Amino acid sequence: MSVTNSRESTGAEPIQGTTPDLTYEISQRPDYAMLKLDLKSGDKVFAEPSAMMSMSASMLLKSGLRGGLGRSLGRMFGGESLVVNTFTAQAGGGELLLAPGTAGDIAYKRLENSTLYLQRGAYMANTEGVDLTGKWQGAKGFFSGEGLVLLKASGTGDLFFNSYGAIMSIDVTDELIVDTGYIVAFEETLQYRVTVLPGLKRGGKIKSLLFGGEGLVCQFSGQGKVWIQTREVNTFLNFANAYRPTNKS
Amino acid sequence: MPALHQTADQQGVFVTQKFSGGVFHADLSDGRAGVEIELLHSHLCASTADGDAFVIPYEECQLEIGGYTGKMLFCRNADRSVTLFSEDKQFPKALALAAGGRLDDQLASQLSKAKGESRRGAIFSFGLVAATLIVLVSLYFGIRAGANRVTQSLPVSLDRELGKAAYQAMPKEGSEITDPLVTEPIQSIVDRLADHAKVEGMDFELHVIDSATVNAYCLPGGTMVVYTGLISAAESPGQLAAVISHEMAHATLRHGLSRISQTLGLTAAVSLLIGDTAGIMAAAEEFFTAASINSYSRQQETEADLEGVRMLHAAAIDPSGMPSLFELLKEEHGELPEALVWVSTHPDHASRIEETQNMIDSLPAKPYKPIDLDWEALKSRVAGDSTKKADVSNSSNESSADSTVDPSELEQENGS
Ligand SMILES: [Zn+2]
Repeated sequence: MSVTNSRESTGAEPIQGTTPDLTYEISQRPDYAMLKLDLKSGDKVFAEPSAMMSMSASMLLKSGLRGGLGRSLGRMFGGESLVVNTFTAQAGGGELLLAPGTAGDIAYKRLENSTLYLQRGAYMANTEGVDLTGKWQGAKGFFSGEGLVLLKASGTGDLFFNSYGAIMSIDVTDELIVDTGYIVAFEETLQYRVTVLPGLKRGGKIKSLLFGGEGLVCQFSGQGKVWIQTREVNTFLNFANAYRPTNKS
Repeated sequence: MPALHQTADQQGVFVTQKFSGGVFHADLSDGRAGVEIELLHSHLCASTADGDAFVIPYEECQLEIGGYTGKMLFCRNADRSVTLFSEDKQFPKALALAAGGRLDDQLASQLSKAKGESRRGAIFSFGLVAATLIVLVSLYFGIRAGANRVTQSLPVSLDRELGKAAYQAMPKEGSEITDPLVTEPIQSIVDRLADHAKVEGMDFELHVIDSATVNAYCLPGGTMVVYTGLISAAESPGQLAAVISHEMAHATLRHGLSRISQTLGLTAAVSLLIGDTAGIMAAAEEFFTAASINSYSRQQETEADLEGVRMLHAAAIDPSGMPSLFELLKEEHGELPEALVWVSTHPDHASRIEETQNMIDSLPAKPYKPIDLDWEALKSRVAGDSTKKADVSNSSNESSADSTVDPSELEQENGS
């Protein structure tokens, strides 16, 4: 059975929308995307602390734990910091500008009593009604090289997440294999399995498994969306590391 | 969690259950929506919050268990255009009941597949964890072996810095002798051997220290230290040259650096590689003390013996001084007096005699040139110096100015 997964590659034009909670615009895409949120009086947005670029004077910023210690720990293991900033629009509403830590794109997803799993580092912001918890992946996470915990975002509300490089969503209708380093997020309806790239030689397989290197892939099956990024962070880090200044004495 | 409520059906009144879940359909924005699924008499009916309804007759149902948790039940219609799903624990059982046995086979096969999947996952995980442990253990040993390789790729200038820093930090056991009658003959041995050193760019810098301790060592980079006690103890210039060649070999084989990286581990090897030597230099000063400078591994000692023999042979110095030195040490110093530091750090004479003799036998015959020094003059000069020192420190054995301090005397001196 051959099923082609339909792809939705987003171009460079801004993405705008109005949700039940706020109005958003993602601009400067896809390389150095930023997110503009317009909040009505009393609206709340939660965001990764380092994400804020600027905000209206009418916004009230409170940093602190959210969702109790257990959840915060989960988030910490998910690669996000323990603290989430809470922005509340005061009288007259306000504007909030957010940007991700890496050069790349931002994606928007409305959760309607559904769940999205985010790769570590992908979380950016959410509105009330979205619950964030760390989801222990066990051995899967250990060998995917992407951290032991995925961030689980569930409930009903808006979720913004970021990628390294451009972001692309793929509708999986049967099976899809993605290199672990390129996964940004995926829907809960997909079964996910870390495996070795089919066709690798036996020795290569063992090497891949043990060193989390090339050839380790995620095999998604079932139906749902997967978001992938067009660049892989580790490749960049390896590249950049060679140019790191060293202290010669 | 299923909400129980009653609905009227043509066939009478019976209980239906509602399960929260979702639907995939091309017409929906985003391709999916949340639904409430009802199990009716002949079909599943799912309604969205917007009022859209999707129906799948039981006989068309294609079941599949999956999702992130592996516990989600998916139902597809015949052309797969509609997919309903729910993760409610009661859903599979309720669906089987409502379908009146029509879906039992599919459900059973999906359940056993899901079970196999989780078992496969468990075995996979276990295998990976075990394999990782094996790799971590072998990595540890690999790193120790790798440290040696890293060491060999570092510039010799690093050895010199290490050696100089260590020499300055080391307590000297006596004053340095500048008398050319003592230093020049030793220097001539060092020079002859240095021409045949394995590593280029190593400057051997000789220090002769006035001390009864029978010892000599060569710090990384070529700082060579010879104690007058060794000169006194040696029976021939060849034996003295043998010790010197052995110690120089430790330096040219860069044993000191390997020892640092083996002891300090990968951190040291890496920081050496990236050029961050500040920490290593600090460690070196503590590392090479007079007491521990010669504590190399047995393998390194063998390497130094054989490399020493090679250097002697290359320099046309009779290498038989090496085994004869070990013979001397073996015969006369079964017990190790404290002064015979070199002996205590270089044990196992029997096998060393054998190994060095084997090497000498395998070398091509060569006319050896005698070491050009006045041995008796050197010995008496040194003995004079030692005596002076001994006189200053304490009035122990009365040794006449022209007698040589032989090891048995040293034993008595230091045994008390
Ligand atoms: Zn030695």
